[in-house]
Amino acid sequence: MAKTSAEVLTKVVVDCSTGISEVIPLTEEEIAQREADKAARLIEQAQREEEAKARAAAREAILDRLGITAEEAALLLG
Amino acid sequence: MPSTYSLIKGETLASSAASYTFSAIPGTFSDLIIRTSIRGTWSSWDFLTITLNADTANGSTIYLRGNGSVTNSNDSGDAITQYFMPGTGQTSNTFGSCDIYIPNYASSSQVKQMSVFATGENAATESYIVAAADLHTATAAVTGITLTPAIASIAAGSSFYLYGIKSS
Repeated sequence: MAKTSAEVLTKVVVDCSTGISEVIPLTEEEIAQREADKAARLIEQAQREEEAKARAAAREAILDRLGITAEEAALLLG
Repeated sequence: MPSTYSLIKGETLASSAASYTFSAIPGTFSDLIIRTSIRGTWSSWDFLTITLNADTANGSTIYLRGNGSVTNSNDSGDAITQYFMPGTGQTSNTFGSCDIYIPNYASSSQVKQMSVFATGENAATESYIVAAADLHTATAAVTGITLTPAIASIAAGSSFYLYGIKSS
């Protein structure tokens, strides 16, 4: 849930023995863990984006050196 | 679904949620499968983390992910997590799909292996397909499964269906 100063983060827990779903506010510990997990995944995402940029740059450099386009390379690679 | 599948619980969220948990899962089936149609509230793609029995310490993922131009294969260390959930930056009203298969979930003496197949739909130039082999090394029978986005929340309209699979 998008949190504003007036809203509380909530989770949904369904009891499979009764079929009843509950909407439960997160505890402070859960919110802290959530923020820690978020920070770690954002770092990982940034690293992934940097790696993708580096691969794209390397690919362009190779195409330039060979003097061919990406479409021509795809044809060669079949 | 095949006649050997029994719907334990199905639900579509009316509001966004930080996580979704199936609790008190009966141990009367041989395997479980969760089918989700899911979208996140983050501004871009998000990870979906799978936690068994609220145990965040004994999971790992080896995944193969592709987006049509780049293929990645890696492991996610100590978390069971897959990167495929579309967010608000992707095409509106478009949800990713994820199937999580857990064989022999009710065993109390074996580790739990899961196979995950997910697609991050976008109806645009970027989307993802993920195949993952997940491992939960604790041996307790699975009675709870939690699905949690790593960065933001699960969007309203996401749906979750838990099926029990009979042995024959």
